[in-house]
Amino acid sequence: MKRVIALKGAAATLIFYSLATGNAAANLDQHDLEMLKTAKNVEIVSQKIAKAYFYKHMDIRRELADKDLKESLDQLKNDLLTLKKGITGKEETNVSKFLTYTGDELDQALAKPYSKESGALMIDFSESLLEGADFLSTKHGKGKDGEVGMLTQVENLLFLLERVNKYYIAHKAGFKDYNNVVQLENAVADFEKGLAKINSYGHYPLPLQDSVKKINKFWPVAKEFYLGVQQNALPVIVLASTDKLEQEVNALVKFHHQEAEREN
Amino acid sequence: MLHQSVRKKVFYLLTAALTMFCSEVSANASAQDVHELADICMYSQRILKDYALVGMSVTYHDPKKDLKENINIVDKYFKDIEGHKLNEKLLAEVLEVENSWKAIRPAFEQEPDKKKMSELREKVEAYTTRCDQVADDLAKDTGIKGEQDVVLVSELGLESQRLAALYLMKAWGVADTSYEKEVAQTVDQTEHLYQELMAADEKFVSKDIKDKLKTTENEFIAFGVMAKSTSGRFMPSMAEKSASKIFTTLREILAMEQKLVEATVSGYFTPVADEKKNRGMILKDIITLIQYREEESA
Repeated sequence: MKRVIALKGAAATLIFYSLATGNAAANLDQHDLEMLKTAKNVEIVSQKIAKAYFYKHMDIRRELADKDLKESLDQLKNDLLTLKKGITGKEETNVSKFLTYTGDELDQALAKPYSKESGALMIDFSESLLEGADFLSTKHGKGKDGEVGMLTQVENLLFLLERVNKYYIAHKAGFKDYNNVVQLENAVADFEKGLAKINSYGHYPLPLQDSVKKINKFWPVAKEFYLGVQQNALPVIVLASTDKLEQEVNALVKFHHQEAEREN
Repeated sequence: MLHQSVRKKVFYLLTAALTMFCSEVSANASAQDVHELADICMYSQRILKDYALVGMSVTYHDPKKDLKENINIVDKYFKDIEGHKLNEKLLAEVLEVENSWKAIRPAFEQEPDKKKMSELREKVEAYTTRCDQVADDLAKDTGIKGEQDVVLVSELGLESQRLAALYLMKAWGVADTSYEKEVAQTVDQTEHLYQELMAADEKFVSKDIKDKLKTTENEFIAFGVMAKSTSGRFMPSMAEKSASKIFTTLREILAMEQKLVEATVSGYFTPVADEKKNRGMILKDIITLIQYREEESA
């Protein structure tokens, strides 16, 4: 949810920038930004839904998982409607149909009792939602240089933490097929690439330098949990470890959000 | 006079025998032959899809079980078609397809091997393309108006399963440089077949059939988006679910289409079983004619 708020803030900043550069362009950019913001929301809720689903069915912090699942589903429904209203052209229409279709299939799977089959589908539906949303956010994503670019990078780390956690808990639930293992490994590698960019950013104030240090300290431990090196780790500890990482990444998101506003 | 009568008798009997012989050679392919061979083409791509699913340890829909069952279905259909009276040319074509199947079949009974997947797909591709051509030849031979639309439906089924097999092969990490080109071609082909069926005369593709066909549109769109993606993310279980849903729906449409098209064939199509009965009728008529002529001569 914090990521969603940050994106809304970034969108507001960019809308302000667009307004300053002319009305016609502003209208176009507002549309792009609205689509970008909504598509980015879908990317993160897609991962949260599957993650919460497995935590719930594995009875790990069940109440919290249930709450997360419900909130993410509500968010998804609203976002899909917004995207549907904003699409243009055949390709986007197809992607929107694909998202709606996946949303409907997801609802049907959620209405059924938990099973190995519905669990497998849940992972894939979350990937489908991500796939469609990624297409739209790439298409409508503009102004990704400078601080806005850094903001996108840091927000992507939050998304990757959700994704890694989703695959970790799905693996614990018994979904160990080739594709899931590859996707988990890719997400871990992507996180490290993003972290390298954060490490090479030279403008963090002292308190945030501390956050960067903490991320670098916690990450190798969390990575071992995710990749199954620490086979005996309790999922509840892994979840707490992810929360801790998210907390530090969120501090960076807040900073880059302010910097992006200042830059524009 | 008697001599002349015997000559006439021999002449008519020869005519009758010739009629029987010609009738045997030009026996039409039956609608059942077309359906079974069209099914063989579709099932073969499904088998390839299941092979990839088993290979990457996906358990959704128990692909291992499906793989085994579908191999048996293909075997059974070949046996069925061979048991029917086909003309020499068509029988040779069917046997050619069956021989290709027999050459590929053992690979599907072994544990899936990632290194062999690409080569196996090439063989299946060549075999199903030929299979589809022979199904089309059988359809033409039935002489049934609209039977080509039945084949179009089954071609749509074949393309959907081909797309699924291609996608799942890629999901398994089997590199194939022609993947993007083949996906684009297959997606275009499914769109083309879909549009052709939607635009067909309602005498041969009814409104009900078109409505049912529309229910597969979202699955085809989903497949198009998934297969064209270059993100490196894959959804094997969802692909299997969509592929099976398309397959089931198209088989239902196929049944509706067969009922519609083949129910109106009495004027220009005779199923094989009836044809044999008819040949008996022709012989009876000729004998009656000989008797009539003899009486007249006397």
